[in-house]
Amino acid sequence: MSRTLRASALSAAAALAFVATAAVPAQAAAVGYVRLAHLSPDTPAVDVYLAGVDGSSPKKFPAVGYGVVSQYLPLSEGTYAVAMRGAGAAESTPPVLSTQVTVSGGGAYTVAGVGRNAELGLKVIGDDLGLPSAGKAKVRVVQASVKAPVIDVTTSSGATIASGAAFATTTPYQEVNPGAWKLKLQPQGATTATEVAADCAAGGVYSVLVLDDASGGLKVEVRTDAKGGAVVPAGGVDTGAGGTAHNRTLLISAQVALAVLLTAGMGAWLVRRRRRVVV
Amino acid sequence: MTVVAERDKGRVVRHRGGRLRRLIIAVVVLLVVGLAGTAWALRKDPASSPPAAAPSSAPPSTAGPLTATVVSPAATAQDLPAPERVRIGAIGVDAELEQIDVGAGGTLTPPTDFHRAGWFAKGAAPGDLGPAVIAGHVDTREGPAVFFRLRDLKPGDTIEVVRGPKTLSFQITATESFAKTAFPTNKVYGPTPVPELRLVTCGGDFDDGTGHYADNLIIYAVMV
Repeated sequence: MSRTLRASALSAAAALAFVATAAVPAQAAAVGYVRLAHLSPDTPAVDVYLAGVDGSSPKKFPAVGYGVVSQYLPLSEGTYAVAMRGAGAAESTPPVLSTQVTVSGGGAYTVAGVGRNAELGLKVIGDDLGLPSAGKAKVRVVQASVKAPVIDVTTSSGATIASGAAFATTTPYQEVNPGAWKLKLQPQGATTATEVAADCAAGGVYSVLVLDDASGGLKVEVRTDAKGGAVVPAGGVDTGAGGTAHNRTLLISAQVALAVLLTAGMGAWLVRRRRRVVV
Repeated sequence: MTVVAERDKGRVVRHRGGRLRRLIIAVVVLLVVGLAGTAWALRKDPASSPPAAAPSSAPPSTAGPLTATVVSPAATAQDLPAPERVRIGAIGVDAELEQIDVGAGGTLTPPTDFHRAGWFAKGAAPGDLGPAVIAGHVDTREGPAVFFRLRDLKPGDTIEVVRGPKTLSFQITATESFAKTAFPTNKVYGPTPVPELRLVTCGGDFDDGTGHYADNLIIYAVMV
């Protein structure tokens, strides 16, 4: 390729790259959601600390007791450190447990202290808050009862929510029809069952928290993890009649063409000028 | 290739013939490349571009503690009346809200008034748990409409929605453009664990044949 052509092409490419990047609309990191949970029946209340790994000062959740599940917190994408200390322990003391959770845009996570105290662990549970099928709701079970270690959960109409859900586990989501249900929680090997009312709306995502209560029975909480609208439109929306479009396209085309021509011409002229040397 | 030698002020200058023709070809090629590049730049869908090709605008923000505190939806919403106004200080928007619905075919019907924005009333209400959606026109047939300057919004800007006696504030977390044929339904209408808001308008190329824009511009925000 001749030097003239090469110089012109290089300068034009540089001009194009500059204009192209300038024309792209802005973007940013999306948001994910993290909540904290204490699901260990025989562990006393803890202080939970949540911090970004860049070392900035953490947010403290004091005296979180068994069965407490916090609200979701919207967080920027990135990695966060979660630490648990005994309630009232100084921040300088080493934590009892710690873990990291990496938040991606649109993701939801429950960071839970799970298991009996002797085998206590911090688990990061992924929560799938994606859309249920049209007109449905999604339900899953978070099993934190050690007194009823294996449980079957069904609805009053006989649909199965969870079969053999074991202590310190979460079950996959089941889709259900919306409505006011009665959920039946039957510990395997026991004669009595526990019933709880659950009001599930279309587009909703729910967790059924199974905990031990103080008197040896089960305490069940139906938590609304997330809610969408009952009706979801298909596709996008036509919100424009074009009055500003033509000007914009023409103007940008003209600017780019002019910039390319000028730069190419400049590059070519400079090279040709250098070549006009006495041989 | 012809070689021409000429006398130029007493010195011999050798130069190749056909240089002018090659230069013309180069300019034509560059013009074509320039116009193709324009089309590419205007069509570019940042949502589908890989991270390696990210533009020079702000990189994803590094991890930090909470960017927004959670406001419990129970503290605000259900007994408030329907939303009636939307205000965006950063771009000078202060508009009434009408209610919009889905039409035949299940697609969202845009607002009838080009200078009002439309709240999708069968979805979440702003301030209630879930993603509230407000759509507005970017332009009329003659000029700008209510959401013309949505493209200038950045993360961190504030959107306010008035519901009766209360004004609810939302902080923008992200902005994205998508082709309407690849609309991110799950991202826009999917369940959210906190009260959120999406603003939607049109963008991208305008198709004179159909009378519609090719893309939707979506602004995501979280209640603060």
